[in-house]
Amino acid sequence: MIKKRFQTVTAGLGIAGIALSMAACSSSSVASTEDYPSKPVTFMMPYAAGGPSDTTARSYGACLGEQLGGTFVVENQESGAGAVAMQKVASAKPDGYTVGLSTNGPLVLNPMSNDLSYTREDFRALGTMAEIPTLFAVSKNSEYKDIAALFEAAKANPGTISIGVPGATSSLAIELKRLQQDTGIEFALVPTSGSTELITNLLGGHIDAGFINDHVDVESQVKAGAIVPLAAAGEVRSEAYPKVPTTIESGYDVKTTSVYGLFAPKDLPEEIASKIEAGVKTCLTDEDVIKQIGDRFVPNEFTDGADTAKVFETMETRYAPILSK
Amino acid sequence: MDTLSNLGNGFSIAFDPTNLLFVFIGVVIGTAIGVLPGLGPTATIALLLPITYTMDPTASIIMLAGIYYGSMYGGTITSVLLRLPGEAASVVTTFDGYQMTKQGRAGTALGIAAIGSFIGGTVAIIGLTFMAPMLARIALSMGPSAFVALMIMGLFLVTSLGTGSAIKSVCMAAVGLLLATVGQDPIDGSARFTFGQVPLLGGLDFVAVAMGLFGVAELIKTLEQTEKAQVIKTKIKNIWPSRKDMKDSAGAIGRGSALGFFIGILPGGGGVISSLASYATEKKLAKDPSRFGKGAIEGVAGPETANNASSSSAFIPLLVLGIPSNVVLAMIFGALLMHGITPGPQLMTEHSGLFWGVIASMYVGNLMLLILNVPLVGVFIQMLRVRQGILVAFSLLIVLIGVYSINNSSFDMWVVLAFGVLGWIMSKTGFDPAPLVLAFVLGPILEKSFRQSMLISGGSLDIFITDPASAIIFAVILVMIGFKVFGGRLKKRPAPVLPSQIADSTTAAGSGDRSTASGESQNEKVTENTK
Repeated sequence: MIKKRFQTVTAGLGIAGIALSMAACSSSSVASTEDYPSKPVTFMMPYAAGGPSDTTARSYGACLGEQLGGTFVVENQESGAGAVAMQKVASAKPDGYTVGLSTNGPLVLNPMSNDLSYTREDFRALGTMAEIPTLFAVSKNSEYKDIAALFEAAKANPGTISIGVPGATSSLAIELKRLQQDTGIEFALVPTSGSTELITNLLGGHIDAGFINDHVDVESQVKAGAIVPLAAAGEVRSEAYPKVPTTIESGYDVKTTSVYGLFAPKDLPEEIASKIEAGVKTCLTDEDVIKQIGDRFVPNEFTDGADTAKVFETMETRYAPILSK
Repeated sequence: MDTLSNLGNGFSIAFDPTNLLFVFIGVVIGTAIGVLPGLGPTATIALLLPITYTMDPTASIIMLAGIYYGSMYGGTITSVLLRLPGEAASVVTTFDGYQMTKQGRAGTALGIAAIGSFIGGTVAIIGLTFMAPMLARIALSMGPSAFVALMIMGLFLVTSLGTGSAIKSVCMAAVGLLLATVGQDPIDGSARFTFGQVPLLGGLDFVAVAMGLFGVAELIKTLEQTEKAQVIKTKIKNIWPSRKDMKDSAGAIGRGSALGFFIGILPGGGGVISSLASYATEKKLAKDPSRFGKGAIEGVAGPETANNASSSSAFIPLLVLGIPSNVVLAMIFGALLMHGITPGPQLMTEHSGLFWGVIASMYVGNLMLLILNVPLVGVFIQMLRVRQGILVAFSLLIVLIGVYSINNSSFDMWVVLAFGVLGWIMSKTGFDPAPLVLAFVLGPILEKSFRQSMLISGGSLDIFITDPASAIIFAVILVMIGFKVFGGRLKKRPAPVLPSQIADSTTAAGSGDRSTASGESQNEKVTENTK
């Protein structure tokens, strides 16, 4: 009892407004911003366990727990194409005990194309945890030896070159639709259920090319000589294939990356937000985080909450013309 | 010889005391979660994933693999005793397994399932040991068009699944296909039939639908009966199947091993499809198909063998190519990644200790499961002695927890209850849920593959002929239709005509354009049904 009262008092001294609202909401267990986290934090994951996003959430969950002196419990909730998890974060009490990983799909593209109760603006970004670049690739027996050959073929015969993308609403698929709208270069888009199915179809020669996340699953196929990367999509070459050009330097305006950001409900108190942001920043250099996620996917420079939010804002403006409800 | 020495090396790793312990832990956990209805290997492995990060990679994969194939054993138990599928792949076992329990042959059903599972699992591991690279390449040659053909072949089996009239079976299959369209469109991502419900964007969950239609529906049915009528006479002493049972099941176990092994390799294959395919095959081949659904031992032996075979062969694409063929293997993929090992074509050479250690551990694990399960059968049967009222309440509770654990979603709990009521109404009106479930599994794959094929070919149906894999499967479908149409007439003729007729129809279907063209029109028909 004494401790509880003490906590309430310190909180009240800290930030008057928050203390008031907290006192109004509950008189029983009030956690102050200063001793955050004093109970387990729910870390929502809008994807199934096992993928690169899950690895990111889990290793950051462990690291943040260590940094801030608490426990982060990862909860996978893939239903509704990630919308259910995002909704849970958006509608949670902004006390720092519910955070979540998100990417373009659940955060930006899904609310743009479906009637959901949240938008990008309902979240407070807390930094970028990992970033996975994308690339164009073909199988080793492909007739397209470079990115120009592939794009020129698509230009010459619109809609006949089949290209796999991981998911109908992935940012990769949307980016190619935008390309078609802006430049008239038209591929036959073949959405697959994810990278795995895409790679399978590429290896089996069922599709002409793939636009895919530049992750380790592709890398191992490239190492084995089964898949050939043609171009990194964007301005920066892939760390894994420094000799492979980028789309921009080859003269094609195609760019997208999967940014794994950390988010909380938008009214998160500034004190807790900066605590978590500092934690993310420290975790970028954490040995376990780097080892588990992969060195080249963990950013070297910290992108803070405000800048992470900007990345997604840009994404929204870029795709607004394509994704009207 | 190389393979044998590698395998020997693998056994030396698998017999390392630590690894041996983890095989044991894995199969015990697997059996346990298999027994608990709704709680399947997917949820369990997701829960245990963080623990494995601190373990040795070989030991952790050995344990996770053990959970996966162990759950295939455990899933049988409640399917047979309570008509509650312990996990998705055991749905089929409820058809005849539960009927056997009602006839007092629960022990025999569980016994033959354990034996079949052991044989199926072992056959698949032998296949995995010696033919993995070749088989992985076959799996790759199956593109979207071949999947269309395979799914149509699967739908052909629909009518043979139900116990009632063929028309009712087809109706149920149509309902299944319709239910499968709920959720986001696989190609353009738009929402279909979600009625503004966000959880429906991902579609209805298979486990929730199947658990409702089979398990919960059965629980509701027991509520109608008086306490006295519910006592099931069970002879516990007959655990070991008799010589006659073994003879009856031998064919089913053999075919189940082969079928399950092949289906497990296919992307998206695995438990449910393999057991459904095995059941339908057994019923088709049976001299007296009417016995099925009324406690035919082949109906338990075949599917149980098949789902174990598939859970072992599903490792082939992952270990050889680095491609996980279902959700469980995707998580094992994730576990390997966390250890800094990327599954891929190089796994076999770069981490040969892990590769062969895991394979060898599967031989050991399957043997452990057999030794564990046979005596446990007697223990599990005691469950039937629990008063029905208590058993029903507990079963429902565990079903709800299990279903919740799949997606951490309370919405799925409503789905399971709604389908429970639907399943009860269906059983009152003589509709069999089996064709619905099969169509619900095949529908989304058929739709996605067909639309992918059309995107690849630019809308031309030629792709089904030019792709050799799909052409072959369509030819087989034609032969099947031929048998269905002309089979009856052939049987009335003198016996010697039959073999030459079969040979004729096979060669005609294999080579002629004529036959594949009609395969195409067949395909159009079915996809129209899907829409």
